[in-house]
Amino acid sequence: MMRTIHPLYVLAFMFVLLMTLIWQNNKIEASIAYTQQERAEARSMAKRIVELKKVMKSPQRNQLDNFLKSSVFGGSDLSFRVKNGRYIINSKRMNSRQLESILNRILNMSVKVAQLKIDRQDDRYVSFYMEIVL
Amino acid sequence: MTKLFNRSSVIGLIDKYTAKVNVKDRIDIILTPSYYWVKRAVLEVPFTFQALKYAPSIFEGILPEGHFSYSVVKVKKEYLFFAYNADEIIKSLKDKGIEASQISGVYLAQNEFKHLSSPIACNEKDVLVLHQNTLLQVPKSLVDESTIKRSMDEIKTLSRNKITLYKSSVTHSLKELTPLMYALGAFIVLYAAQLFFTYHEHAKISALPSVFKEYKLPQTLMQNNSIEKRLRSDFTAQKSFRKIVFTILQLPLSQREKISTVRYEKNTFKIIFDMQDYARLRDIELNFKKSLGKLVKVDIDKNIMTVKIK
Repeated sequence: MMRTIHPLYVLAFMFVLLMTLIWQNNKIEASIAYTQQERAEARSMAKRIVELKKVMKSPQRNQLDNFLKSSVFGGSDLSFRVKNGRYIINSKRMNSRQLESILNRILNMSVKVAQLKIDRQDDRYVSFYMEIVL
Repeated sequence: MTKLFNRSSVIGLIDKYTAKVNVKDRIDIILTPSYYWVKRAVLEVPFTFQALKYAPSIFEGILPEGHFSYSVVKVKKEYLFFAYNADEIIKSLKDKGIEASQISGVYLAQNEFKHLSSPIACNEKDVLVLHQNTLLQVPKSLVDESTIKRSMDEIKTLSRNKITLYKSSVTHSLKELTPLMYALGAFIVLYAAQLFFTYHEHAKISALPSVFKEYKLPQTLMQNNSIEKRLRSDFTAQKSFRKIVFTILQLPLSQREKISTVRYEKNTFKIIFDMQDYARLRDIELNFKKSLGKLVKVDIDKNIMTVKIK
C-alpha cells in the first residue's frame, strides 16, 4: 500500500526546520557579538597597557649619567652605579640647591623610585641615596 | 438526510444523492454503502493493523481508477475490509455544504447499523437493509414500505470505527496549505542564506589573530590582566610618591623647625622631625592629610611621622 505524507507533517517539518535555522542563526550571531565585545575589551586593555608602559618605561641610563655628571653636582661627592638591575645614586654632601635640582629632575622623569634616603648632616648639607628600578 | 437530535452533535446519514445540508453545529457523518466497498475475509493474522496490509490486494481488480484508503474492522474471526475514496468523499461533502471544520467524525454505515431490525431510508429512492450481516443499499420497491423507518432512533451511540480522510487527502489539503508552505519555504531559504553569511562572518572573526599579539603582549587575558594591575599599581604608587616628596619640600616650616631624615622604602615614608613641639607636629600631620587626602595613611609618634601610600 502506498503511504503518503500528510501535509501537516510537511508543514510541521518545515516549521521545525525554520525554528532550527532561526535558533542556530541567533546562536552564531550571539557568539559573534560576544567575540567582538571580547576583542574590543582586549584592544582597550592592550591600549591601556601600552600607555602605562610608556609612562613607566625604564629610564635611559645615558640620560641619567649625563645629568649626574653635570657641573651642578660639583663638590657633592656624588657617585652612581648599577647593581642588581637598579641605578643607585649616592652623595654624602649635597646642598639644598643640588638636592632640589636632583629631586626636580629625577621625579619629573618616568622612573620608578624604589628607595630614597635623605639625612641632614648639618644646616647646609644632606646625604642623599636613591635607588631607581631599571 | 435523517437526523438524530438526542446528542450534543448531530448524526447525519449521508448518501451520494443527499441534497444540500444545512449544518449549524458539528456533525457526525454516517456514510451509506454508496461511498465505500466492503469485503469479508478470514486471515491468519491476529491484529487489524496487520490485516490492513492485505487490503489493497483484497480489492485488486474491483475498485475503479483513483486513490483509495482502506479500513479494517475485526468481527469475531473474520475481518471486514473497507475501501473508500477520501478525496471524492471530501468533495462530495463539500458540495453538500458540509465544511471539514464542521465534521466531528466520519463512520461507515456497515459498522453503525450492525443490528438494523427494519429498513431505513437513506434517500428518496433507496433504503438500507441488513442481509446476512451485510448492510445493503437497495431500491425502496424491494421492501415493504410500511416497515421503512424515517429516523435513526435505534442509534444511541456510535462505534469506535471512525475513518480518517487525511491520508489520501494530501493533494486536497496541499492546495489549501500551499501559500503557507511557500511562505515557510521562503523563510527557510532566507534564513539558510543568512545562516551561511553568519557562519562565514563567524569563521572570519574566529580566524583573526589575537588582539594582544598585535600589541606585542602575552597571549592570554590573565597574563595581561596581571601586567595591567602591576603597572597601574606602580603608576599610582609613583604618583603618590612624587606628591608626598613635593609636599615634604613645600612644608611651611619655620627656621627652628627642621626635618632630620626622610626615608622611603616599600611604599612607606618615614619622616623624622628635629623639633619637640608636638602640637605643631599635629598641624603638620593635618596639613599632610589635607593635601594628600585619600592617597595616604598618616601616623605620628612623637617626632616621627609615618606616611603609608595606600
